[in-house]
Amino acid sequence: MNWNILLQQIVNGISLGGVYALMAVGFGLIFNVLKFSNFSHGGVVTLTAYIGFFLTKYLVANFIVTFLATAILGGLAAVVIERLVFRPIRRKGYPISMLIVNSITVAMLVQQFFAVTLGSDYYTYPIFIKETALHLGDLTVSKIYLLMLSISAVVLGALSYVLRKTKIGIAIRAASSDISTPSLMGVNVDFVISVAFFFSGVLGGITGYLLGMTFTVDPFVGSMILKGIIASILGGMGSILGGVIAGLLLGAAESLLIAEIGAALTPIVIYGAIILLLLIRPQGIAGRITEVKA
Amino acid sequence: MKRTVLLLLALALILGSVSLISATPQVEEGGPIKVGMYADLSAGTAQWGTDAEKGARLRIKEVNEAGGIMGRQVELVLYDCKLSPTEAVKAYTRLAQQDKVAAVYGSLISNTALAVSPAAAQTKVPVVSRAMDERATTPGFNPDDPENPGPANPYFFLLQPSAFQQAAVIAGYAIDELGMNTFAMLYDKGNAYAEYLAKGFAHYVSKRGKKMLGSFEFQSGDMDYKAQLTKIRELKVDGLFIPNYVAQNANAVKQSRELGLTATFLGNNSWYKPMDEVAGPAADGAYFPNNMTFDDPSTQWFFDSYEAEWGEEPRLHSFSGYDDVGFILEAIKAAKSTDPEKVRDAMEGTRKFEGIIGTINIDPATHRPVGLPMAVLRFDGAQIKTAELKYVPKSP
Repeated sequence: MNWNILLQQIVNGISLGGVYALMAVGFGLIFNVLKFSNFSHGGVVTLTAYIGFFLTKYLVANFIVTFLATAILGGLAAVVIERLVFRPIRRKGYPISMLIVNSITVAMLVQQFFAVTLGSDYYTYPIFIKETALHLGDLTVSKIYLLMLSISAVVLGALSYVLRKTKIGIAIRAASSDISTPSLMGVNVDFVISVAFFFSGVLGGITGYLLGMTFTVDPFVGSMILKGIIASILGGMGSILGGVIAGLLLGAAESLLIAEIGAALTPIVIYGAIILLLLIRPQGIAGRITEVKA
Repeated sequence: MKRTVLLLLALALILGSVSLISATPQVEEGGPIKVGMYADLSAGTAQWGTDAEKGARLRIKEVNEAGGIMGRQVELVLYDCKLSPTEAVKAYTRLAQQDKVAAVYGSLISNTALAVSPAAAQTKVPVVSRAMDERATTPGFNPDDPENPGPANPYFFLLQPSAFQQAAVIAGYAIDELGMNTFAMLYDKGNAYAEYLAKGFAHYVSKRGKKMLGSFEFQSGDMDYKAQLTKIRELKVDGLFIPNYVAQNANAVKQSRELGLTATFLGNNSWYKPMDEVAGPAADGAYFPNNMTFDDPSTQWFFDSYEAEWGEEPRLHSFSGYDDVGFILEAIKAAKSTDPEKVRDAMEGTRKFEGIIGTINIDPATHRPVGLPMAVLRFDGAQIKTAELKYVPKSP
């Protein structure tokens, strides 16, 4: 394998890794606050992949408008899911495992709903970018992937800023280290959680839109969330930077492995490596081990 | 009270419909000739099943209006197998044992055929089907040794080119008509349909002394094939064979274009509609085989009679249903009997059955049609156009 191909494979992998990173952070955000694995994030991704399609098809075939609308609708969907499915359980003080079960159920419900109603057809976004590739010497960079990567970078940068510098961001971070103390200090915890879900849903909406635009929309598009969850765990649950690094690494590793050992063996090597890595460094790449307080 | 009335009403309805059925005029002492059919009338492939049913009913209506067979009317006994292999076996057994049909027209899907084939070998009522998977007709088929398919299931027949035969059509066209010498392929390892086409393609290419430079797989859920396509780009092959389902094929061609791949795409019959909408201009220049093309002037009469009967245009499997039931009725006619054993013998000996889709000659060794031509279609300006109306590979 010469250097050009190697570089090309890394470029291929990193652009998909950008989407993994988006998913990892959207997933990690909720884990941080409520300390449970929110599988319903995959449901939001599937839902918004379809929403994006219908907006572009029936409302306006404008990329920026439909993209922003989908992101916001994704955020609202996540807030609604939290209100309907998670909040009642949380209020009653049921164990966290109930939240996990409910989140899996939501993901499956969304997937099955679309499989039954729209599953037999194919949905393709309009072509927003005409010329599809950018050539840099021997290197071919797909414009759509480049766009995907830059959007991921901007969004994650913005989120990082919000979490660090704004009042609500600080509240979310405070809630992540301990959910009960802020409420004693007069912070409205329900509101903070809603906002966290909104941010997470916006990330899910962006992911769904980007996946839908790049690939053909199908009911199982949300199952890619598994890669995001892996990146999230690998990065250290909830750490934005860790999730991003792990997402990009995972994308690049996948691309190189598929090229070298084939698509059938790649998941075996990757999952094996993850188990090993977590045995050696259970906190992930950038995570700290936090104790969940009872 | 209300409930009792409703129950009685339902009962009356059921009894009414039963008496309607038994009131059907019986032309001769033997009653009507019964032909069985199990099809997917619900579930994912419902449209295919319904289209096949409409084609089948049209054929039977025509035959009955012309006086039936041996002076007897023909009756279709139909069950929904819901895309489920278990339901298909249940339906087949019921048709064979309770309804005592002369022969059965099976669902279009290979999964159901693979389940029904062994049942047919035991129950001994012949089944005709469009299941492309070689194992339905020759159970001992090994895709790595296609030249020795083993003995045919005596009671199972295929009425369209099998997976390996379809792969030979497109590979033969690429070699002989497009002058290609080097190939690569990208297929879903988890899908038997794609895998059989890929193996058939590779087999034909090597048999013709051409080169398969790279065979790449992906996993069923994967949507990104850039890693494989980057490798394929380096191979600089003439033709890239992509034999999967529509969405996967569309993703593969779009990503190929983004990577600047220059190879000509070669496809399978899943490149037919709606691939033109899903892939758009990215598929331009691609060639793929299909059972038939809709602009064949010799088939136009069927459009007219089908539209007169059903008030809609026929789709591919409307033609399938019409042809396949016609094949069964022809065998009954030739056997001069409704005894399944004699009908089976007649099917095995069928030569030159003139279907709308093509002329069927059954190979007694494999129970698959020999030399059945396919149309070769191509993508041009995001539209599907006919490249060759009827094509048979030069060397089988």
